[in-house]
Amino acid sequence: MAARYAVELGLRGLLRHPRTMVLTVVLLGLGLAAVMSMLTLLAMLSADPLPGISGRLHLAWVDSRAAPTSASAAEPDADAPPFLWKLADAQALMALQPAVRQAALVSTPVTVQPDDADTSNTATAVLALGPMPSMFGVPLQRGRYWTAAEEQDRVPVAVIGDATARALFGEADAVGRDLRIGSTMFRVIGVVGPWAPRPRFHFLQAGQAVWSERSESLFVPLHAALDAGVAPVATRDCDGRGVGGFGFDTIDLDACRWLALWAELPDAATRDAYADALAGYARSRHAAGVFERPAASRLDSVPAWLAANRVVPDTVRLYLWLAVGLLALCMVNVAGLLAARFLRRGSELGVRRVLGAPRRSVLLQCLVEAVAAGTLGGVLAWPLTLFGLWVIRLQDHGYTDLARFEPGLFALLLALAIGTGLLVGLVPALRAARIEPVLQIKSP
Amino acid sequence: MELRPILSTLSRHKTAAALIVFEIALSCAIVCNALFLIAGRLERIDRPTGADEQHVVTVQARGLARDENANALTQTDLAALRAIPGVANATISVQMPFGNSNWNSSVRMTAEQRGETMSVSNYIADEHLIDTLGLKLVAGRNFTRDEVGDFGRMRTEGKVHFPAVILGQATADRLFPAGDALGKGLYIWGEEPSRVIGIVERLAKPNDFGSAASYEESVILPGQVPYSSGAYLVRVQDPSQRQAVLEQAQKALLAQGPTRIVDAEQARTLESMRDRYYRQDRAMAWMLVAVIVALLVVTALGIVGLASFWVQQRSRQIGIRRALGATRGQILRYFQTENFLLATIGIAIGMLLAYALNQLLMQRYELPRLPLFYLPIGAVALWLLGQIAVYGPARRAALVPPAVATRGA
Repeated sequence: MAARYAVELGLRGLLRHPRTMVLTVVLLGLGLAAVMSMLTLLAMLSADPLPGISGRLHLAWVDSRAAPTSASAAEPDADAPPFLWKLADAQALMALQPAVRQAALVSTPVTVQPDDADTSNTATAVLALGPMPSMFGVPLQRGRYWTAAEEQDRVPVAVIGDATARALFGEADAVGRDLRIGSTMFRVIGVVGPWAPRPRFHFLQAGQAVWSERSESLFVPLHAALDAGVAPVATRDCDGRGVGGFGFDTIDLDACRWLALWAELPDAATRDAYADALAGYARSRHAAGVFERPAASRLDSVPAWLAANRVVPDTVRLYLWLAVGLLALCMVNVAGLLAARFLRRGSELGVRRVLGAPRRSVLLQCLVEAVAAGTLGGVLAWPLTLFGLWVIRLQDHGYTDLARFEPGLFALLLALAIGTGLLVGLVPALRAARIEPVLQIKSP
Repeated sequence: MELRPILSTLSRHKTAAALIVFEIALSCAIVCNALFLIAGRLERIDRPTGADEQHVVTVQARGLARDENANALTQTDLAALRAIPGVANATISVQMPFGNSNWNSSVRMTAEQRGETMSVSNYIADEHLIDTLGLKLVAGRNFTRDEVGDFGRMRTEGKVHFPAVILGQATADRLFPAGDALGKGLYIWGEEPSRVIGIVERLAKPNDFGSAASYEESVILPGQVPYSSGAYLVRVQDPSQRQAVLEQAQKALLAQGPTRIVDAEQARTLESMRDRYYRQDRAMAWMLVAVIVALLVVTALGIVGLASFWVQQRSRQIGIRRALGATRGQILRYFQTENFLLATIGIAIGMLLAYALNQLLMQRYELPRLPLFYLPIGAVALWLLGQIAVYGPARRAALVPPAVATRGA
């Protein structure tokens, strides 16, 4: 009964001195909205790029680089791990683990021409060893993916994106049509819907837009493409003294590392077994003198791989820190305002104490007021957060269009607001509850 | 003004005083660091490329058909571009400042060396590049006509070699710290050395992936680039003619053949490319400005709120002072001095916090150290802010009539 009375008093106290109350609510709303906007953006950027699929995928890497020289003391891979494989090594490891689904891939621009016309189109293609489209969940609309036998026999077949198919062949069904890539006609065996993991984790290239909405729209078995004279133009890493420059249209397939190797490992047991096989491969190659550096390998899950590449921009984290700073400042302010409100009512609280109200009751009354203010701040923070996200979307950073409000986050927002109110109200409330009743009655 | 009464009053209002001090300290720390971040962005936006950006425009041509004589076509294009009124010079390069592509290759000092000494950005272009971009040659000479090879043919034959190379000063300094770069041989493409024949003062990479220190590490290699693998760069005599020249240039290139594609979006001034390139940095700077303003407003509101509470609480005491002969000015100054004292304590703590915050940012985001002069800037800003915020409540205090002393509160 007494508790209910204290709650009622607290809620009523909310309406007194409306100016400072409005200020309190606005400050809380502002700080919370800043933090929520940034948390939303960060959550979007840290989301799974291929839900349901990327959890199974792991990127494998062995150190096949030549021994370091004194001149190359400053290794270029200081901030991001190297991840590329030579063709022969990727094939050898894939053959060692026939039971595991694996795909080695490179992403490169290629020029394609439909069979009948003299127009051409540039598409970004994935050239792959292994069942890459099915492993990565490329959504098949018509036709089929390529088979292991087709890959083995180097049959020139291609799977193309729906938009590219329409650009090349119009409204007619592209499946069964021919497509010139390099020197060879490729048979279109499948048409796929849009597939654009964001971030583009499957083939992270230095200096490329990781958050781009555009992705590959052509999938071709690697050997058929190489037979057709397609030379991958992509990130690569070459040994020896040959031409290894970026963007050059010939590639020394043996001396360069240019493939990313992915393995589908659904559980811990297969993961451990695969990691062992990988390490074993690195050791045996090092023992054979082929890998000049000490045997090294790693197996990264998708989240680990994204973290190692610092895919979430530093500026977003920086913004989040700033927003947290703003919230902290708002909280200090609100604590000050609440303290002023409670202390101003010192004599009134003193009267309550003299009339027999326990400290607990005074504390409860103050906390109720603080929590109610926090809740109001949280409600106000909602439209402010929407506004903040809108401002973020206005800017063009390549990833900012991902900043959208999620209802689930609103629950977090309210919890945060109430928690903030409680935290901030606690000190002033304790201070108010310590008021000596006698002193308050005595003073005029 | 006597400080002792202020101090003794403050010591009896520890909670409120501590809150104001803490508020000022926190906002001092954040404001100093945010100002520093803005300065960093602005510095990046203003960073020179070495090119005379006001005078340069670019345009690209592509052909549908595969033509064997791309090089001859390119030379005709260049002649047509140079014939446009108001054009001073024109060339074609595989890359340009703020462009999309960045060609890098490794540099070795000897033919036997394994691994690279450094990686440089390659501008492959003819002898007109230096004049067209307005680069400043500080040592040696420009390419001669016979040093400029047919880059398209080199590529199809798979034998790329450049007999000469011009270094950017930053590249020269890194490769030859003794300053004797001229005449030396470098291994950049293929097995034959390229001789260093000149040094330009500055030539930035097309983009700045990698550290800020490597931003100027580029070289110029002599090659006639076919139109299909580069972009035309045109120098205008007068910056006001840039749009007119761009329109004429697109027409001139389209007139070269029916299968020509000239992308209007790729016809731009270098200045507009710079604008676009640094858009993110500008957005970040504005966002930081907004955060600083929000912080200062919040701090000011807090000071106003606490100070008015406190004036109200002490109105009896103020009334007594007034009754004993204190002037309004004295009351006003009393509250202002009090705020100044609190702000000073807050600023002192805030500077330590600012430094600690900077230390954290340095570790996490590889930011440079906060220069000391940001601290007084932050301090002055917060002193002013405090005085402005406290003025309202202090004035209200000064208006308290002496009669209040005789009344019950």
